[in-house]
Amino acid sequence: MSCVLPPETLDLIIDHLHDERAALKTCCIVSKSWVPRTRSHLFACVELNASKSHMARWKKTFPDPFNSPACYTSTLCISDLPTPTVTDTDVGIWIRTFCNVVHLELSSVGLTALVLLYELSPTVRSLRLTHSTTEVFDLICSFPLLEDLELITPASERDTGSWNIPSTSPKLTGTLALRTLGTTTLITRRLLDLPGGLHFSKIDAMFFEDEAESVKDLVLACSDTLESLSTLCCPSCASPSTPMTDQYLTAIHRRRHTNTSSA
Amino acid sequence: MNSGVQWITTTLQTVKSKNLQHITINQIGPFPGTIGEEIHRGWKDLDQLLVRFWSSHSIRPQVVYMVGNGGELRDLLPSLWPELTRRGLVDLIEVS
Repeated sequence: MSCVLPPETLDLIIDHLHDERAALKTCCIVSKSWVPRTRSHLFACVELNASKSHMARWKKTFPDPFNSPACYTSTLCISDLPTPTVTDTDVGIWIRTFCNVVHLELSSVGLTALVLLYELSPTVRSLRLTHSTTEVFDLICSFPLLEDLELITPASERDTGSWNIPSTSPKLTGTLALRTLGTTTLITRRLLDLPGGLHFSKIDAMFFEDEAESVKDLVLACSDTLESLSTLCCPSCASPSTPMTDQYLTAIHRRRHTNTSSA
Repeated sequence: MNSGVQWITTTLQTVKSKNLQHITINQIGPFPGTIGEEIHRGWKDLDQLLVRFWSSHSIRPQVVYMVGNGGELRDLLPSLWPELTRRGLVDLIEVS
């Protein structure tokens, strides 16, 4: 006589194994009914680094994008996404199968490649951009539920002055983290132009002292909602990446990591 | 945080939120050997403002600095923020 467990109970059992990858892989081949829940843990966080051939391997493993486990991914990290060429016509198709992402991290992704990620997932709530262009506001505004935004050391860019302000923008009610030495004024001006306004509860900003006025405007814009303010004002003589700033950020990161681990 | 902190004072004066709970000021570089009168006055203004924030919002400001780069800050703080230091209302955090 077979004993059939209710699906809710099976889900609970699988959830208990969320950090046991070997066990999850075994569960995945037990039965078709076990596949969705195990995949939701196995593929919760996906890192695609183009320079490490992650994308080629993903496409080889899951040649049919619509049957891939991309829909289970809640945290997606993409690095070094190259500018798509005519031979990459399928890139946009398979990248859009990551349709339930909540946390999106992009590193070294150029403007042309960024376009592929517009409206990637309506559920994105947190966006982290590292070594990216400052022209990221169309991307930002394509995520209607976006709350947290982190911008890190974009390359210094010339301010073109005018730009096409998006017609709508997300609420932006979470954390704003800026590591934008040299481009803070440009970034804050764009942020302040957003039609939905700014409602951040936490601002953590690192900037040059001659950019302090723009940070002041940013704080003023969030003045009704602000709960936490952290500032790091660097001397203007420091370049965006000097041993001093790097050393400090490493020390801060180490301290935060230690606090998290001990917690 | 550089030697001049007037901008922090004027910025905090604009915050209307009743939910403000945390203020963290990071010190990246070394402090100048001699602190000018204007800079000193800027710090004292911030001292008074942060004392008011403590009274109205119970906020304890944090100052994070790197040992070796701003190592003397611990010694300077009693003269820069006399009221906060006297009342023990500031958390000084060293990172290394």
